[in-house]
Amino acid sequence: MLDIGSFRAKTCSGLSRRSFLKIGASAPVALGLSELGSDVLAAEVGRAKSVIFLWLWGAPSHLDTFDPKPKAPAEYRGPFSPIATKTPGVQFSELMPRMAQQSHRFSLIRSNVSSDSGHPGAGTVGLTGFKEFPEPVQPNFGSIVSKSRGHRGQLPPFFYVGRGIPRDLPRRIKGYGGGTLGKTSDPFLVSCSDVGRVEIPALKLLDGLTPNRVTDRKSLLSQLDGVPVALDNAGFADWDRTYQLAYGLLTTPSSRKAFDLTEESPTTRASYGQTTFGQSCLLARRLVENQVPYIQVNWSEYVEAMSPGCDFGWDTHIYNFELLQDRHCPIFDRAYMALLDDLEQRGLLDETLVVAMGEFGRTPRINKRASRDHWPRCYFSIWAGAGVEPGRVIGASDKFGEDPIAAPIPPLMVGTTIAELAGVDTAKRAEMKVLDGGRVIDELF
Amino acid sequence: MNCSRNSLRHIALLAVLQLASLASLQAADPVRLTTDGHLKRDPIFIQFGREIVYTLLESPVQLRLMRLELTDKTTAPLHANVSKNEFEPDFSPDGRYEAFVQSRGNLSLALVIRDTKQNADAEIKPSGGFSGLRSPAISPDMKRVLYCYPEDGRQQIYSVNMQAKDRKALTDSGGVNNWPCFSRDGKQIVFGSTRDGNYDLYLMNADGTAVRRLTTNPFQDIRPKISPDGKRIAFTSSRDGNYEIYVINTDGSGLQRITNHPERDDYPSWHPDGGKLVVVSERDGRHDLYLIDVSR
Repeated sequence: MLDIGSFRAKTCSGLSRRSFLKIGASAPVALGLSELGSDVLAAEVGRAKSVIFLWLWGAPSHLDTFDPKPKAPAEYRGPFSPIATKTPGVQFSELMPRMAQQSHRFSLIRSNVSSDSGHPGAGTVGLTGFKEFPEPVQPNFGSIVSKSRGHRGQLPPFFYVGRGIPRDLPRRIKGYGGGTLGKTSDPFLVSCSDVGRVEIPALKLLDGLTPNRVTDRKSLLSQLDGVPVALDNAGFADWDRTYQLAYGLLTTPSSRKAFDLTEESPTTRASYGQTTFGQSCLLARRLVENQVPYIQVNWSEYVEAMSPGCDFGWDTHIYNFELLQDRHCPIFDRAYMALLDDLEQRGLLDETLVVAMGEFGRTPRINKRASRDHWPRCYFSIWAGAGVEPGRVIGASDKFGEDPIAAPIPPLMVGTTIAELAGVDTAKRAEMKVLDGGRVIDELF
Repeated sequence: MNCSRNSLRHIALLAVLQLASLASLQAADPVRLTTDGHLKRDPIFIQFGREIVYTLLESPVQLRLMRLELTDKTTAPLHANVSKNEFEPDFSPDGRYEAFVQSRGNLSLALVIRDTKQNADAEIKPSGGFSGLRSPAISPDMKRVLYCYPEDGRQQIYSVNMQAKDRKALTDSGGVNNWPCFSRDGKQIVFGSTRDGNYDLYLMNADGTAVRRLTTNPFQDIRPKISPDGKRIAFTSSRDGNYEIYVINTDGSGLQRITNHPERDDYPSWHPDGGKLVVVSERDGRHDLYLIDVSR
């Protein structure tokens, strides 16, 4: 029995090359699908041929990571000491030792601001530049880039690497995908486990589909009759496109290879750390090599840091300091630097933009649970590659980290800068009716 | 039959530990106890050193308490069929009582004190809203359980009886107090605290009096554990740039660095013989349990 909903870290167990070839030869015909990617040429490419957007969902504390305030009173500064970085005069928290030692390789913005203080709302603002109302919501930055750039090769142009569409316990965010550009610009979701096992949720909906059954057109179409409802329940309203993309991945050897992390050397895999986020970053790098224009790596599906059924997001209303020191910061510190090292060693960093950020910061003043709550008035983002001048600190917060003392940088500027670097210039944005009013963060260059 | 099986297990365990000691003496290398590489935390010896219980990130959404038998390296869940996150376990010396943290709802953590003999649980449920209890520690006389709880912007150490009643505050300081650990005689408690700015180690009497500061390093000194003979404290510190294991005497003197590796070493816990530590070490990006000889 073949589970075509996943690609195991080991070579596709239970599926022979012959089986795959049979699928590849027969399925598109059986389904009446057009070949993917062959007739879609890439649009003009900017400096950033690919973008990796590391979405630190749940909102990391800025004071405890990249904007420490050691001179602030105890009720603000928290327990972590600042450490020197490679950037003269700049300190990070002691929880980020690797990034501190390599701070000359990326730039840090300390004056990001959001206009929403709740996760789903701020998630939409953070990923689209605009509030979630009025609907239809504006498109995700990745949808804009991928719509403009189109397919390059066989893979979808916009990937989510994560367990699902970002959400909190009550609901998903609205701005996860295509928005006004339509469902065809939604991200294509794949997940990656801590041991590098890649799964494609869209294909999991076809549990029980075996190679033999794939070649049996009648049986296959019969099974597909039930798929739209299942896909819709899973959040994929445009099931046909999603299924086509998923099937394209399965039936094209070069596409399948992009998801096989066993192709990497043990040293490379180890460098990212055996964590879900670490291996997801490695998968993102492989997608860059496969010319995918936009990859959003989600730290978690849920914001909740410690709740049943949730996957340990950055929303640390309780035990903020413990979670950061125990888990979140060591994982991020390692994976981020491994990603930069890897991209650089492969000559990809000059043409790949890497952005890391959450949807807002956390309260500078420690809350009654000796932790930190939501804080949209000031937070950080980290930028590297694709012509970003490294080693800079852009903007600054006030003495308690409550507000920027330089010009605030909202998500609309983040998205505009990403789009510009990815070749979606002012004229194209106007034509697409996206990122209206946004301007580029010039200080990055 | 059981007797002879237990004898064999003892012999096998002794062989493992002797090999571990020998390996340590010869190569000074820690002995790897697990190989799966998944995220782990909170290891603690039980069954007089024959087994280790630890917390495993079993899936992206599940922290599970696991039991590792040292003779044959087999692992199994400590509590079968539990879907809630469970972590930070502690045990009474005779193994009758377990205490651990269990997630109950959205950012809501309860403390469970389990009497395995009576098959009964006593609990301290979190109050409303985002709230939780952490870091349980059972007294050697099996009469009290310590835990940490944040209120009013501070986090204090409390104790309750085995029925989770009769709460007493043992600390009343600013900052965060965490990781309390009893000495074997039950007379002293070592803990970490940010009362003086950053995480340092402190020692106090079991009733919360006579607090003495043991470390003054500007970086994190966390997760202290007193040795079975009451003379040494193992802890994690980031004083040399990343998480490493250190040992000091209980008067704060005699600092000794135990690990020295560019990757993380954390969560030290003493073997009952006082000559070895189990730690969680990250090696090649993988997190496993290691046994370290600290007898010299």
